Amino acid sequence: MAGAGAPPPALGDLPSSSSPALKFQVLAQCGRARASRMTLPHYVCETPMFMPVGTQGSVKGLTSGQLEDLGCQVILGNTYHLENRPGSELVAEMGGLHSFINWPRGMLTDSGGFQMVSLLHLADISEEGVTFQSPTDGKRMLLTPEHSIQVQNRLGADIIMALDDVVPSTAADAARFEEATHRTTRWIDRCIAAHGRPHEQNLFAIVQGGLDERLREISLKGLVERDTPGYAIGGLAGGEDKRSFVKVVSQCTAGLPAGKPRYVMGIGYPLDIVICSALGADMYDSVYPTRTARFGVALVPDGVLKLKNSAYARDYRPLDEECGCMVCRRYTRAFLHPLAAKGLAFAANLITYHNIAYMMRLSAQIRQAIKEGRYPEFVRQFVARQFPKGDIPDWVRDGCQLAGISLDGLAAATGVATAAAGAAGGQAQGGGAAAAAAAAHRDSGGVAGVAGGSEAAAAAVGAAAGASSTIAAEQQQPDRQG
Amino acid sequence: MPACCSAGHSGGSRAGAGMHAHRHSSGCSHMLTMFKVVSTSDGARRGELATASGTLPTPALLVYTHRGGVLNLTPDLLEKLPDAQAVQIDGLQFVNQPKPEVLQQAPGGGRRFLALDAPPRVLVATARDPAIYEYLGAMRQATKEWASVSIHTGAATVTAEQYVEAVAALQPDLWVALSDDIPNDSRSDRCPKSVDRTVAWLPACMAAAAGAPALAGAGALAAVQGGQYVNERIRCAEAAAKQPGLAGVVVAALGTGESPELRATIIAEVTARFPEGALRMVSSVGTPEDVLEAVAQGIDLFDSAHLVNLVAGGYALSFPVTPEEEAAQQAAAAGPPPAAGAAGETAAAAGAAADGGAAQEQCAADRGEDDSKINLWSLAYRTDARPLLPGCSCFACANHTRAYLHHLLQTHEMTAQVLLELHNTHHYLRFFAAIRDGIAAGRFGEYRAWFLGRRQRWLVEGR
Ligand SMILES: [Zn+2]
Ligand SMILES: [Zn+2]
Repeated sequence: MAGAGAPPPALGDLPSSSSPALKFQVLAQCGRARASRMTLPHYVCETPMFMPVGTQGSVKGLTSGQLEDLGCQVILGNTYHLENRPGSELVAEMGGLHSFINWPRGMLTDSGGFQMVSLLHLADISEEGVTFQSPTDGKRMLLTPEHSIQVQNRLGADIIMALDDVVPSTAADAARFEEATHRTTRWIDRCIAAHGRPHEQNLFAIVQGGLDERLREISLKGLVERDTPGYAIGGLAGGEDKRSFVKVVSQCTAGLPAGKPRYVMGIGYPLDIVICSALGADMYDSVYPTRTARFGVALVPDGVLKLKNSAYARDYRPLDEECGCMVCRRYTRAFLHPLAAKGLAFAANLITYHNIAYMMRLSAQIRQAIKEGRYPEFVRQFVARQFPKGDIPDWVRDGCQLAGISLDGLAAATGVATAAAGAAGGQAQGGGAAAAAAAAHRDSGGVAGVAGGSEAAAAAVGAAAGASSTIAAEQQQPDRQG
Repeated sequence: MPACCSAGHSGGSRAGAGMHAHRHSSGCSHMLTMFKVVSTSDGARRGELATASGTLPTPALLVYTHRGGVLNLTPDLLEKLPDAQAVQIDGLQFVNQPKPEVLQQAPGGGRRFLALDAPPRVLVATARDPAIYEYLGAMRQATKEWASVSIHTGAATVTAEQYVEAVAALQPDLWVALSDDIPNDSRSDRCPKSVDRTVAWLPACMAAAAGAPALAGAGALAAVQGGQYVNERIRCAEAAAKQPGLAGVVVAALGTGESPELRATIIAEVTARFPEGALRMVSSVGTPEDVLEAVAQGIDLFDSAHLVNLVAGGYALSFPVTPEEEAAQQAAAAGPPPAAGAAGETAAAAGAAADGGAAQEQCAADRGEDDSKINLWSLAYRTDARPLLPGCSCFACANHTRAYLHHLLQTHEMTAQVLLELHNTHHYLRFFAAIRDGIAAGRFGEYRAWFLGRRQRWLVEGR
């Protein structure tokens, strides 16, 4: 939260930067992790921070007033969706995105390129831009770097993103990665040239290069030379193996200017945020906390609660006993269970509210721990809680090692941690275990019971363990009126 | 009428203790005296319902809930509607998933479980969801012993005892007895059966309630069924009126296709069978005109079925609540359209009339609008920077534009329903406050005539 925490000594010695529409000041460093203040045209933010995604101008089911209540600092809008509806020209006519949705704080829009490539099978990328078939009338359309920036200039977010040549990180074609890396650097020049509002909006360049260390180095060098107000690390969160993921993040944060914000795109699992922050990243966004809420999954310090599980039918505890959010103050798991099981919009809204509160609290805890010089201890406690049996995945160990954080004393590596976690995630689906653990969980004072740990493991493997319940839930339409 | 029935409640009592003295049976239609009529005007009554959750001024609007949630409004948003003093909740939604014992065993009881405990609100448990009329027709094989109902877990059979157990778990201030709820067009052989069962279940419900401590201070309402058959309605009402210990009556299963004339007849015949001091509720009577007609017949409580439908259709209420607001609307229509948020509170509803002109009204009709509401789905609002209703002080109008609401509907974002529910509930609560003011001032007839005249002018002249 802006203004929180005591001012650290000798700010002048800490990295900072000043761009026409962005000031960045590192307030405290703890190992590679840093807590910073980022002054945007609409808001003074504190990082590390999680940014909820409001794809089409609203964060699912919540009002902008509620997002303020929750302490959100920056929310995302998706350029591709907003250009489809209502259209950037209409948004500009209505005074820009801030005014249109009545959000007084920071906003960030993406380039639209990622949605083209991921949503549209017919996207075709050339030097000129991304050609795609319009979903509305089927016409061939071309999204160029210039067009993306023009649209984002009309939307008016505090931070806008360069159009990059996105290749899924799991693609095998080395030549394609090579091409994409160089093209992204050529396109940043076209983006910078097209940017019409550099004094009101900050263009962030996006580091590409897949999982290839050499290409990432080339990308870093080219983009750092362009000296944009901030940088994003792109091409991740696409299902690549997590050991490569932390390696790339580590390489990029090390190679980016110390005085500028670093944004890891598409990251929303709490554990990923903790590890990336240890590596010196500052900003994150993902639909995960809001999307998973609609499938009845609540984020808690021990991992996740799958509220559809009948184990919660008589669990009178709040979602998260350490959370003071409106939902945790007023409702119990027992109330939410039958509504989440039916996919009711009301339950989805409540869990979404809590999940965002959780992400804001986690971000604040990360900042506080960095400022107080105890981030390594924070990471150790966080990891211990998510893996009470000590089955810490190798990528977490890698990440901590790269960050210079020792996990010694937290049970030994299993070597097949990911698989073990996957199996544990499966167990968490069974209601009995969670129910039995519920009572133990209450008095366990920090270390979760068996079921809690299993759920945490399920969260850690994220997409893998979550996928089955996610797909099942997607079949079920929210039951608005019964 | 026995003297005890007309004795007014001492007023303001928050405890149920006063009512217990009257819960004796002497064979007459002794009514609980938690309700008193404060003043009357042209058939309408301004009353006060004293409950453990506070005193509710009537005629009152009960806010809709679905399975314990105020449809789209989380508790923080509900608190933005301080006048939402009473809530309707369907007891049948708590027969299963969750079962009554889940609420009973919850720390703080059922109300707290549902987050309806604070701030205190008058809780009215009904035996149906007013916004969903799921009539299973031939499949619905109720017996004397149990009702056959359609709930969120599917078709279910429910006895009076099971129903009362679920209702008691909600810790309501008022509750409606179980009835065999059938629509207006039910066949002539179905209706008598419905009435027979409804008549049989009332004492069964009352007996079960007598054994439920949670209902000790709560008032019971009898439901009167009978479909379109006035003689059956009368038979049901006369039988119910014999039941001791009631707080009032619900004219049930309205809003199911009956004509306005038939509805008026049914309401008149049913209410006439109960003492003046009986609380009178109708189910699913909702449009402003329908509300005014029912109020003119002395109805005290209304549910929010109409608002649920409005929100689902993307509508925002826009009618002027008082003649002063109408004047402000007309003034605004004569001048240039007001800038977003520029109109003052006294100029509420000014924007609606700013759309004036016969051609525009034709367009309005084409998009399902009329003089009482606008449809935010309409492309007319694509770039409309005004609030839903200029001058409205609700959270939605204070913060958002028609253009944003239109966009949220177009993109199927749930926030649209949240904001529409906030505005419409706020607006309807103001409408009910204006009705109460009219009765209190002895000018309800005048108020009603103004409102209906306005409607008539709109229909005839298109303005
Ligand atoms: Zn919470
Ligand atoms: Zn309003």
